[in-house]
Amino acid sequence: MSKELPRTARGRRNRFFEAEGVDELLSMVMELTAEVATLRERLYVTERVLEHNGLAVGEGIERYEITDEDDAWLAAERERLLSTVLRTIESGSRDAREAAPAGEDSGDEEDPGKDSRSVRAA
Amino acid sequence: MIQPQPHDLQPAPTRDERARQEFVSGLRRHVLIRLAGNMRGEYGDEVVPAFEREHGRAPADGPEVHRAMRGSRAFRFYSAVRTNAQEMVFASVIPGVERRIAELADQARGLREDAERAGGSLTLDPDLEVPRNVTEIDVHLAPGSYHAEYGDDDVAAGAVYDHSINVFAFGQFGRELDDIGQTMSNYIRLKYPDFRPERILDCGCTIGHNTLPWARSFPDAEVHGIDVAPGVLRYASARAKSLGVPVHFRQMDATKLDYPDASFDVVFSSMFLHELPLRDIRAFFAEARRVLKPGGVLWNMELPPNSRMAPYESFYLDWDSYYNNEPFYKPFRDQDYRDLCTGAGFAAEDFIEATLPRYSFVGEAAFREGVDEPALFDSQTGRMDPKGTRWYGFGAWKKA
Repeated sequence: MSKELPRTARGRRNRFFEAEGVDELLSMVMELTAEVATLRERLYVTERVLEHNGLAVGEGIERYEITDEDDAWLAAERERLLSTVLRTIESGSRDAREAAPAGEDSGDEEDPGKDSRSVRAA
Repeated sequence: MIQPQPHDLQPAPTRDERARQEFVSGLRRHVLIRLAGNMRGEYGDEVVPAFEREHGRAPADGPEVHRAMRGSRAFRFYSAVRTNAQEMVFASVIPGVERRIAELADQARGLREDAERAGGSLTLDPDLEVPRNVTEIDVHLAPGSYHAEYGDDDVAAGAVYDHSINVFAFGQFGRELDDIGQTMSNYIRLKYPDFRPERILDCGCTIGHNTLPWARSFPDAEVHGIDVAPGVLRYASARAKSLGVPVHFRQMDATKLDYPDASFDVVFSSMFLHELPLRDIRAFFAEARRVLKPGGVLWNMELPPNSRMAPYESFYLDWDSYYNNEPFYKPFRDQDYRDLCTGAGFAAEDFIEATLPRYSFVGEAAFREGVDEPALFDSQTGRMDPKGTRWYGFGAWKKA
């Protein structure tokens, strides 16, 4: 059994700021802060684990050369981070889902004239 | 730090997901203390003086405070950050539950079927129509609400509920998330020492976290818990088995109880009424009175009524109704709770209410001292405040 649970609540998201984009920007800041907190915890735990194993890692980190494999992992991780931080303005967000017809996941296919906020496809 | 749950039904968060849950829990605490404090300060320092200049008086009730506050900077940031925190609670928990969804279902089934464990039972009703107030709204922004099923014997909704309130509560619901149940059951035990309930019913029990304390406070009683949602009940039953507490869980609508007249000594609910349309609250109270034995009591833990709160506190608690997918919350809080009881046939003089310190936080000795205190309505009543919270309860005795 492999099932996906819904990730967002139904209904239009409340807005608390009159200026366009401020609500979304605030969500991005909160998500970024969560990411930083998570990362800091992981780094902290990593350093403690290494210490317990007798490894002082500071100098090694500075000298380390990124491999192709590392690079692929880091690129995917950056993409995941961006999707998380930008969740309120990307497709799949509650507002985007309400605005777009079912099955469409790209703002590019919307009629640009329908919504002044839409970005025209190049 | 978020306390690990004291039972066997654990999701599988990665270390990063756990770190994220810690962050979200800390964010919730920060919003409810710091940002709420800023908002209260801005209300007193700026909003009230401006309102007084215009109207010659201070705001008179919650809705007036709400209208006056809406444009204020502190309100906007409190509301926006609190909304994000609410969304992030669920986002931090769902992936770990989803990853173990099949194992959790198997594990819960194993616990329920384990004959070696405490008694109790689970009875589902596949024909029960889940009411629209559950199916049509993602209550308090919980994705999928809490009734959805994702497979055979599924318990995902229960697991998400359990672990999300653990993140949500930042410790304020106690070690087993059961302080409300502990406080409310121990109040009845200590305030009415001659009352010996034999059968106790918890309505809208979800995962049974506040049901189990009744079985512990009254170990000789038979305890039942009902809810309309099957996934949370499967989980509740397995959770109770894991914790060694015998409870009978049944899928049932509290407005149409499938129990005989005069079959319970206590009908309890917690944080339940504010999820119901008024007509369902009235139907539930009538049903509660019907199934109560003469000499039994209806006892609800709830948010305090607006009529007893200062205008700002009334506004503060009603925030959820405006902004947290809780459409029935304010209409309920606008009622006279005594009238709700008398409307169902209870006598006005049999109405009871109390505001209580948290039993599992203050301990029995301090709690016992407070059981005869009159109800007190202030900024700590019904609010999750680490400095001190008082839970509110009300109900009525059915004449012997």
